[in-house]
Amino acid sequence: MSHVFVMTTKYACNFTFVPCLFSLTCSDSLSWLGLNAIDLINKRKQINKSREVVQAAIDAMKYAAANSAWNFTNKLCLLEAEQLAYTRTNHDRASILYEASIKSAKRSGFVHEQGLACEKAAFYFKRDRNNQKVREYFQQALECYQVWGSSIKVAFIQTELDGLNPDALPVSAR
Amino acid sequence: MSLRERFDVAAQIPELYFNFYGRIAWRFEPFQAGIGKLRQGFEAGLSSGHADMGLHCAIQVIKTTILSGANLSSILKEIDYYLHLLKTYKSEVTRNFLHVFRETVSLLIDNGEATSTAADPCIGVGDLNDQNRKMRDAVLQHSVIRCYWSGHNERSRNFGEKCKHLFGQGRQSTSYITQFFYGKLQL
Repeated sequence: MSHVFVMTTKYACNFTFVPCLFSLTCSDSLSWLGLNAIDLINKRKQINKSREVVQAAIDAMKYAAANSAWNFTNKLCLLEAEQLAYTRTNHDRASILYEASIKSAKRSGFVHEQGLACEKAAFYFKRDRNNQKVREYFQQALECYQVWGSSIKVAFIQTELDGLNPDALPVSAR
Repeated sequence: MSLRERFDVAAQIPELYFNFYGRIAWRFEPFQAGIGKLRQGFEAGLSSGHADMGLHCAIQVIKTTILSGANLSSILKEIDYYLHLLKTYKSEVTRNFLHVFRETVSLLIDNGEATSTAADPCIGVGDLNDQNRKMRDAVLQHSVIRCYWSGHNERSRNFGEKCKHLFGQGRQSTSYITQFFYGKLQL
């Protein structure tokens, strides 16, 4: 903006203030519009690229899960749940997939991925302000990470639990 | 495997178990199922004089245990045991891989505050001993995993970009896990 003022002052001395100011601000805003458009295009490209990456990951997990459901079903369910959560298209299906991922990880004995699925489910319900479910999932994630032995994850989940609104606690626990 | 039982080729157990349980079996069997066999391969390798192959089995043991979600402290103890053995059996490749695994496990436990040995593996961009870039790829994949779990998403995504070439046919278990994390980071 400062250069606009300098230029307008210069042109004002030449008694051509109004048309020049108009043309300057006009070209300025046009260039900003252009930059914004480029920025938007870049963002859209980035989003499209991200979608492709996610889809490729889902396809890879589907392929792997077809041969070894034990090792990869929980990962596939979690990726699909996260995809639905990101697009916010199907709340019920996302909840079912989070739960399926947790159950599958538990059945396979992947305690770290069970914790991860619980953590992600908790963040998903946090956006919906469903505090009871958030607390349940964070608590489950905490237990999983304790069994796994990761103190950094335990500390992280504990911070999230501490930050939850105490009003969300069940009456018996207050 | 049935041929092994038929001909009883005990000397080839380490190599067979390394290739089958380390590289193939996880595609259709639980991760946990191969760990015991890989440990057998390690022991058979050391007792039959095929220390190199036995130590390769040890690398696969650690890799599979990490993927199966075993307790991190027990994995750390097992890595330290193998590193201790490497004072006797000289294998730079195994030592470097075990140090990469150790740093990952140590970071997952406590961000390396009390458990890290700060012993970085000897790798460089132009390392002549790493001609197939396996060590470099392993470091990149572990960087994705480490950064993801420690919450450094942008850094993890950058490392993921660098190991995209591993997301192809005939790949190993770690590259599936890396792609899983890389895919999740886009959401």
